[in-house]
Amino acid sequence: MAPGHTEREAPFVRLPEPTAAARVALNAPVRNLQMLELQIAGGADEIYVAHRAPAGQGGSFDALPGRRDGEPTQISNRRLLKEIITQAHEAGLRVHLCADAPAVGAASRAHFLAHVAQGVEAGADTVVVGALSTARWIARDHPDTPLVAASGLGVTTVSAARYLRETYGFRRVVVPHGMGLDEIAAFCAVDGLEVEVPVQTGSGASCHSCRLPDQRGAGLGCRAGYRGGTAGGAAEDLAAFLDGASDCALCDVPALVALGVTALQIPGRESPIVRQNAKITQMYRRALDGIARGWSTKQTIEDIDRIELTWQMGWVPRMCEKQRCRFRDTPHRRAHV
Amino acid sequence: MTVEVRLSTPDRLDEVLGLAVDAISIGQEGCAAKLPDAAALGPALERVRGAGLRAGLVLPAAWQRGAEALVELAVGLARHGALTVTVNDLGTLAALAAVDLPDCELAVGLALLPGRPHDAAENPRSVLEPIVYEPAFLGELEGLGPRVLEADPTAVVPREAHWRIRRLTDAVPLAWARSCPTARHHRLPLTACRSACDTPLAISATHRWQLGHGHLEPIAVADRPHQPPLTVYGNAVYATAPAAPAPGGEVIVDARFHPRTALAERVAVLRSQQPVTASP
Repeated sequence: MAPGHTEREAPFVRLPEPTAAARVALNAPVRNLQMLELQIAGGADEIYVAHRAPAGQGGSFDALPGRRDGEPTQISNRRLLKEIITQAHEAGLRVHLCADAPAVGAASRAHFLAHVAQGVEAGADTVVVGALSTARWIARDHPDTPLVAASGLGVTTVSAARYLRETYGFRRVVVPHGMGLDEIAAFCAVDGLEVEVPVQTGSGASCHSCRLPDQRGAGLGCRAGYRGGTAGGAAEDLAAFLDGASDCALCDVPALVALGVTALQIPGRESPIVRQNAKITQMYRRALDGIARGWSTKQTIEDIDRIELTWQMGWVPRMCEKQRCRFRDTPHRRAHV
Repeated sequence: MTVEVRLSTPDRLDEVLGLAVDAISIGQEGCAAKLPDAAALGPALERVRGAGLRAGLVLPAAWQRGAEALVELAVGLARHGALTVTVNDLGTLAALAAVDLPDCELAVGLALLPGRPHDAAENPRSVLEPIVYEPAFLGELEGLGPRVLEADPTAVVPREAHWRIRRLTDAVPLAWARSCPTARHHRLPLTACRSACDTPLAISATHRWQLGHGHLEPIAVADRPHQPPLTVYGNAVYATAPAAPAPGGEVIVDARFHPRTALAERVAVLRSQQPVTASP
């Protein structure tokens, strides 16, 4: 069903050993106990969380606003943060604390560091960082806590990853959406670097340098609908003109496992439909379980098709039929610069 | 006021060499496919130097696939004469910082910008709300050597920062995309698309992407007047600058926004502006 791979990426597509599936974690979003329960049931191995900035701070201390489309994105209080981390650990999950604000002003530094300290004291295993300056601050205050470079940090090259590791001690990098399999392979070849790949997301603009979500009322700007045209020409409905439309990596989970990625990141801390969000985790869990059983991708998809109603109802029409493939040779990916 | 004109390619070099400018740079922030090769850039930059002007190379933000080639290109060109190399990603900056290039001035480009903190709640924000270059952000980059910063017209840079600031005029870049909307729009594969981005597209948002269901719905009536007109050149999205930079500094004019006669007029206006002096 899926298109083939690009010439650049095809050489990096291999079948993994079944045992390799166990080395790849699913990192899922959580903002409350219901989401935690659903993500554990869905097969998450790791979770990422953020908690609300202290009152009086105008800015969020992570990569999302406090609410998006009216939905909260953060854990509401310290007690709940502690409870979620404790329950996650009891279930054997690793917990990443998102302190990945793209910027923190000097006036907010003390509040930000106190905020991070609360998460570390609550038991977070790593801190996800979104700015160079905050990386330096956190590394100084929490030298034993591993740092994760958020996708918002824009680590688009191995050279940048090495610099972050050597200068700030980052141990894991979340690569940006637009990365190809050949490029992910280069990151995986760096000794001692964990590579996390976002899946089921992949919009148009590069998040680390994008202001389009600030278009009032337009939602995520690169997903929005646009009208326009060339100067002097008639304006036309350009629909989702800026949308990169390369979300789904399900068929390429075997390739990612074979490359040696550490984790697949499921999006959706802001998800308004938490069951649907956990269902995405479950689908990627099925893909990993299929590898562990020695199944081909075709066998895995057939099994998903047999069991999951959402596959035919939602996934096939919205992803497969639209060719919203993350790593395949689609018209959208042919336009990658 | 010093004026630098930025060209995506050397195509308009003859025209710009005839203007009263101080520097000419070639390249842009977003697309490696659009960047001319060394065979085209070398002679063009030599002509700029030969005219007594500062020559600049603008490297697009690198992705791993093309990262080494960009560094090699910059190093090769910088070894042929004085050159300002504008860098738009951390990896390229780190790579170039490790090379001994005595005649090379490294500049932090428009796409290597600090982010903005999101709102603690969900209060609307304008795309033109200024980027703030905190001293802590600049301090991290200083470790890699650059002391020149290219900033958009609205950016806030602290006075105490020991950086030379070059301000883009007229436009504010809002986003760059790896998946080029212009190439997609014209259904052109990479490299066949190189000239498609010479013609801008003017767009504005009409529909909101609804997070819950992933569908598009018309933007609420109250929000429609707030949609800024956007200009798309290739894989980069720009808004019109709300104000010009203060007279007296160093400015960059992106020639794409000024067709032939308009560019000469714009340069003349900028050259005529006198610096603002402090009141006694």
